[in-house]
Amino acid sequence: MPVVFIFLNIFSESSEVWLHIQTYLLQDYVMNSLIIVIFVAAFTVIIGTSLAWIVSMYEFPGVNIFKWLLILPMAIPTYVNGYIYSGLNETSGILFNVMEYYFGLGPYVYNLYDLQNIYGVIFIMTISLYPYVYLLCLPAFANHSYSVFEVGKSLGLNRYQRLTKIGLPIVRPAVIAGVSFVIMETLAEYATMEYFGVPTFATGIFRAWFVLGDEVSSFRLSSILLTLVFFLIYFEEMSRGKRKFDNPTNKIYERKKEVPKNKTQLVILCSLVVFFGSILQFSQIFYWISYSLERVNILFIFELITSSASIALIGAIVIVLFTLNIAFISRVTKNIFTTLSIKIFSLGYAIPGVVLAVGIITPTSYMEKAISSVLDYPPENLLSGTFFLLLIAYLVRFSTISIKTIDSGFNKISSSYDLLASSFGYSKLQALIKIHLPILLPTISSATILLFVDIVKELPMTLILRPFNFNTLPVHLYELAEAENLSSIGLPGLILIIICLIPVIILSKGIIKNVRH
Amino acid sequence: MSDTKLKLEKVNITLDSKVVLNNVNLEVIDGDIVSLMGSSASGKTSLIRSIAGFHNITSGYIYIDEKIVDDSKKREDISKRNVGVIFQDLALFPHLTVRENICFGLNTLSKKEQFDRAEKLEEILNIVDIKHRYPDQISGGQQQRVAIARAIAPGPKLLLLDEPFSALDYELKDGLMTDIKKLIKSEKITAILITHSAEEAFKMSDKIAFISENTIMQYADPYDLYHKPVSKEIANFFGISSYIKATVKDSSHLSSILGDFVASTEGYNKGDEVRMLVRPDDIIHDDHAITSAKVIEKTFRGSDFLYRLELKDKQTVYCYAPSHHNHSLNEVIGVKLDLDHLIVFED
Repeated sequence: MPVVFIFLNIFSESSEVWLHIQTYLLQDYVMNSLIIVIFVAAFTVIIGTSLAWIVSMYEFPGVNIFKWLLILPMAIPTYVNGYIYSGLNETSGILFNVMEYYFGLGPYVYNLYDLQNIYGVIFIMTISLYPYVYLLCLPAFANHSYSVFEVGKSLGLNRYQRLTKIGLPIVRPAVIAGVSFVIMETLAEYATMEYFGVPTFATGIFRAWFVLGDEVSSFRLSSILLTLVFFLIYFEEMSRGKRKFDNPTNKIYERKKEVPKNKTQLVILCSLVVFFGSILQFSQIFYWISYSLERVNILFIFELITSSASIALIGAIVIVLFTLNIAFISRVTKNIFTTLSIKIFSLGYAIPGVVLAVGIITPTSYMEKAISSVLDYPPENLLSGTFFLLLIAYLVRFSTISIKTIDSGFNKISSSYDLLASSFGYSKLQALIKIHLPILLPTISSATILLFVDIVKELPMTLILRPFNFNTLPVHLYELAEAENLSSIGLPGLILIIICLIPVIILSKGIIKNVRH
Repeated sequence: MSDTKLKLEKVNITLDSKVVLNNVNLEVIDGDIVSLMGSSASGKTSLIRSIAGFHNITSGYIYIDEKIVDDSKKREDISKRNVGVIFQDLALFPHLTVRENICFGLNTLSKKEQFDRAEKLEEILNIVDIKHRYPDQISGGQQQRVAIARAIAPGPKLLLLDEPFSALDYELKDGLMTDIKKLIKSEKITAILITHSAEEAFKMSDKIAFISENTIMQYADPYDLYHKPVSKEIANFFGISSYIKATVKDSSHLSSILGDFVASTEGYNKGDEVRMLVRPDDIIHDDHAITSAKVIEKTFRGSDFLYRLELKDKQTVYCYAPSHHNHSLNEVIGVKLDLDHLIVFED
């Protein structure tokens, strides 16, 4: 509905604001968004694929630890990464202070670099998002029989040729899936772009609505962004097609990884990525905590944790129950309607949070105005600024995760179970309770955890749709960053990262466990 | 009361506008084990699912204990048919123990009755030691036994088995089939078994129904299906076949390179060219025989050899010979035909 509403409203009369945006800003939005997307996509593919290739194919000191550490940046929300990197060479930054304390070079470091530009955004997005490509390529490389690479070797291909002629074609579907996700996340990112002062579609939509007060302009910008996103989804589906390049034999032979001559270089390379991807961030966070611990209002932080956890838990449960219901109905009554429902709910994640918030808040306010004028009832804010609207937004955006997980969980349960249960006289509901739910319990639990964490770190929708005086950890971090109070980010930032670590561990555990050697 | 347990009358099944089965008629006697055979996608599974009540038939009637359970318009609920089903994937509930799986269909009984019934079946099927284990903690053969126990526990009138042995090793399968047959017979359950293996069907079944061209082509006991097949397809399905040229001499005699034989030649005229079915066990290797043939292929099978022999007119037949009769390729050996009956097909 929010998407339909946005597209229906782009034909409304143009305002002066839109003319202003069209004349002075639109080109920046388009160019910046495109440049960021292209470079982030290219860098994440290069870094993610190379690292996956290195840790899957070669034996070198610490490879098994690197395999884990390289995933860690996933646990640091992009905007937190942005705040941390911006703060590194500030006077409260660890880099500034270390250089000042040991070498007296603090001011030099302060002036050494400035990340508040498009290059900084590209760097932050790359370092935050490369693990998506890495994590998808890892099983794709490792779960193929090593003999395909040995055949390549026997046919005279060198290492580079084995990577480009065998390895890359095999992982192509995984790379496409990973990079599509990276591009969607990049297009949807609001807080980092805003903080780094780089105007893109996401910031433009927010500004048009909340600063310039023109909803038509925000709809038009949203529709352009959505068109880009839907084109991307179409492109991904097309390029992936039905090709999966699964191991056709399903046999993975025990193999010894190759011991390269230049293993020191590989160790250094992986260490550098781990250093810039997570060690530096954790160091800065702990430095900030030590720096500002006495100023921390523990009670307030506790309130933030409680409010963030409560809304995330309620949201996760609502979404899981809702999607469980859809997936079950789809299982027992396969028809176009149920298949379509699952398809539609699978698209939610592609809609940027800012767009979704705008697409929800506008029809709601129209509806409220209509109701209050019909009923002659003064308060117009029946739903706006309520948890209900926020939950609806979460439901639309995050159902994707849940529906995909639960639906694939259902698909793995043999239909024989249902037939068997009915032959024993069990109703469909009894079968759900006695068979499906117990079998799906791990799936439902991981879906709930994933949802919980995604909602906990969600920023733009919560920022726009939250009830008055309702604060969450990301909103608080955003406000601190906006107030240039980076040194106070330490403790709430660390708590958020720790929460985000949970699904990263669960996900990577599952994937790395399946990566057999 | 008749002793017919299951009766299919003019059953038609259409799936996605495609005729799967057409005019199927079948009567299964109480206590019999009947195998359904036929090539892949011949409609065996559709038929068994319709009997269980998972599919609607398009027309015709299905009777269980002389009561119509499906007349294509009205269908008796699956749970009321009292049919036990064993799927190819066994469908053991992974979150339940062996004991809980067995008791799954006994929910209308008291705990004591459930316990007694499960314990009895566990003993018969030799799965007492694993009753507290989960399906992923037991072997394939044990899983098979649990699935059988679960299906038989509620005391079904009819047991439907959809290729239950397909995933098992030969040694495991052999012992299991013996045990299961014994159990089915002792519980006096009528069973319909889908299998692709002639050997399985011969071992388990009282009767075999062969499905081809969307209907049951032949329904007979295993001996007749092997020795008196009504088509070349059935003959080939159930064993190695050779078809030797013969000429109709009169209404009861045929003449071939292997000699003259008494045979029913009804429907053929004198002088018609026909083919007579010869199984490897119809050809006896005998050094004193008048007819001879040249060994052109040999396969050692442990207890015997399977020889492919070339007759004087270049036609070939197969022949089993004890393994100590080890002849070389191109060696000419004596053979004679030992036929109990002669099956003739059109040339």
